[in-house]
Amino acid sequence: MNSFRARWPDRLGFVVAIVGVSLGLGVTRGSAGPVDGVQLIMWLATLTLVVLPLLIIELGVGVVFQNALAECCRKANRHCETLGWLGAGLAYIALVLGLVAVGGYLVSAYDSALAALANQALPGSGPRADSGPVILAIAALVALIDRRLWRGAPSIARTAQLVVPAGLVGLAALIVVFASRPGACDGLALLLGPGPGGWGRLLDVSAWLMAIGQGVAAWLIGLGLFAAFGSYLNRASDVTAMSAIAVCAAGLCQLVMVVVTALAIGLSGGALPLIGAATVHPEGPVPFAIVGLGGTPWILGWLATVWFAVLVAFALPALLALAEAVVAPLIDKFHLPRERAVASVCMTAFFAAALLAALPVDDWQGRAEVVLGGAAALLLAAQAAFSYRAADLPALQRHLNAYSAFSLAWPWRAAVAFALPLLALLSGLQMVRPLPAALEWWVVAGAVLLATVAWIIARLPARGL
Amino acid sequence: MRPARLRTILQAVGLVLTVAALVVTSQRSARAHILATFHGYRTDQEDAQRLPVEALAVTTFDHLGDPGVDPELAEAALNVLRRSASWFSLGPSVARRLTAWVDGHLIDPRVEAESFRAAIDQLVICDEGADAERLRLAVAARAPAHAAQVEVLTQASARLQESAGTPAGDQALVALADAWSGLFGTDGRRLNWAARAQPAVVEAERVAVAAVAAHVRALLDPFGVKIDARYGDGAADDGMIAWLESQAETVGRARPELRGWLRHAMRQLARLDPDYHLEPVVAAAIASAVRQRTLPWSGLVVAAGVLTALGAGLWFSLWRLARGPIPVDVNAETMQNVEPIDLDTDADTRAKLTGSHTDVG
Repeated sequence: MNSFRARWPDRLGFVVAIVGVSLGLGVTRGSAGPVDGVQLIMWLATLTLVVLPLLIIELGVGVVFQNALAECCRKANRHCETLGWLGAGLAYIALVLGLVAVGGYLVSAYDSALAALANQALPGSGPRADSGPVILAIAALVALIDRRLWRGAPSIARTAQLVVPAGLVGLAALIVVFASRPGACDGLALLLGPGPGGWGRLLDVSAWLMAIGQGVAAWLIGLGLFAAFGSYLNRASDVTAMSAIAVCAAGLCQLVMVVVTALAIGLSGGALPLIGAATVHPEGPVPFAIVGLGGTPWILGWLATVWFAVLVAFALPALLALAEAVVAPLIDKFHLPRERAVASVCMTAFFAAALLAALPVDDWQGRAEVVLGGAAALLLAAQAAFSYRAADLPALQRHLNAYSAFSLAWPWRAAVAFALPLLALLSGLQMVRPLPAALEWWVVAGAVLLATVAWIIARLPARGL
Repeated sequence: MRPARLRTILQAVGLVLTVAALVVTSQRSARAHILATFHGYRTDQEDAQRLPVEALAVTTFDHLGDPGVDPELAEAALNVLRRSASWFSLGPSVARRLTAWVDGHLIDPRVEAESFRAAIDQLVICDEGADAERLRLAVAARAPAHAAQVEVLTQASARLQESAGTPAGDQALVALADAWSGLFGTDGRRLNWAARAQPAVVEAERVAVAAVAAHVRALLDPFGVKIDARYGDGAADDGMIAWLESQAETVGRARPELRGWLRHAMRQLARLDPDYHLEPVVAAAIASAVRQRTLPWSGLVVAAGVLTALGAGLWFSLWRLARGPIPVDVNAETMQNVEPIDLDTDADTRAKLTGSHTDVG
């Protein structure tokens, strides 16, 4: 039964939604982004050579099947439906983790604003002793998600169109303030310079693997977010071009955020190549470090407020997308009314996030990342296999060839065949901290295992295709 | 393989993995719970709350046996016992047990130095510092001497002390960095804790750090920071920072090489001793002296390349989206339109006759 599916209001709304999701996922994961020139080049290469093909694959799966990931998997082969539900489960875990992180940012924004009003020093950025305010912030976020998600894709697009430009304006204001301070040039020089180790690191294979792994993990490709997004596109949409626009626009927006981070590192003295790697590479995206900026407390308070507000603004589209990746399969499978599915997901996510917020961070964060990394690799392998099979579809070939003078079926297959083992390796690498200097045996074993899974899936008889 | 059989195999593998995960998770949860209980122990608690925790600490410590099996748990248990009222009677026996364990394993050359670390740390917790120091030195004595590398590092430090703040000092710094790598490894982890605790190694490391710090102070002299002055832990005020900035600009223009040497020296100091304490005024002077005033050309190239790549990709994709599908020219002379289909009219085919029954004409 084909139920009515909401559509994106327009192409701009779709692109801005993906840009917002990409920025927000980085915020919720606490990713600092590239901090020197070598990482910047690797980041760009990852974005264009790995993230873009994978985004096309996942969006394409949604466009071809017109369903969320779980139903796509069932249509491809009924034995694979579990994989799709695994993706929905992981998206749920990512949603809960994101709620806890963004709840913390919301409370930090509030604390910073209070400090600014009282002309007092900024509160510390360490773990909070009391979890009450964070739980309250999580409740507010969940209420907002519940309210916005009732109408599905159009509402996500409208939210992104509101918060992404607002966040960029906030970042621009921070750039103007930071750039006029002594030390700003240090931060930019660090960002555009070779960093510790020199340009020779461009030849370091493990550095490349690490950068590519972080790039893939930063977009959370594989959990079904973009398959759900793709299902709200018409089958005739030019997925390749729209993915490329989204990736390039997201890359440019991420650059703005990276520049702000670099400037803040420079102002705090962290960019001076004298303090050592621990300070040069700060943990997390909060370079507030601007406490060492000098100046009156109320100015610092407002700067910090703007920064945390920007983080919250960028995180909203990502949280909406994660919730949609859980809600959409439920609606597709059980034909539930949207408002009921949204309310159920939001309610349970609130209780899970509140529980986590009350626990010490070290207890769950590392384990959750390991689970997400490993299972996302499995899901990516499955999706890549579906895409490989989908290239056989005459309808898809006609669709691809309608937009290009060349036959894209073989490049598609080549990208998938290249991406598979690579993803397996990188997702494995993402599962350990610190990352190993060389390839460990279990990483290779994981790659072989995932490639085998993908091969089996690609050979299963398909009925939905 | 048939899908049904494959599904059965996958389900069996999934079941085994789930059971294994449950077992591992339950063990970890139990350990985490015990640790949390130990961390939450307070001496002012009621006996009904305190005594079970102390009993659990005794049981846990006895159950662990080897001090290196789970050092974190053992130390948490010891910390509880150390604060309990029964420590008076328990303490000597625990210390004796640990000392005997270390003494017993010291005679076995196959036991690695790292294995003793947990036991010695636990002896420190037991307030048996003298015993811990004696055993630490005994373990350190088992490590190879590295006398030649220590000597090279000491000589390099002396050369740097002599030439601090001069062009020769920068070359001496390179030699010192090589010597340090020769002793401690490029990542500083070649020696284990026992070898690193040898008095000769400790002294060589101290002298090397002091030499690099002296070199840094000598390089700062032209910027207005006196070599032997003591500035205290007070932060630099705005006037001082402004003066340091102007000094850095003037001196940096006159002697641009100083900035590079200072960067090099600070990088090495951070490598040798990441926790080296710099007085705030000196740190501010260094920040001013090594501050970038212009962006390097390579950085501008990187920035231009990244922006161009993303901008060009965006422009091309927008153009492609605006263009839409490639228009199809139905009159185009394609291969399919021009080449006649070569039908073999003499071939025997298996096609059925499909003439219409109504086609009677």
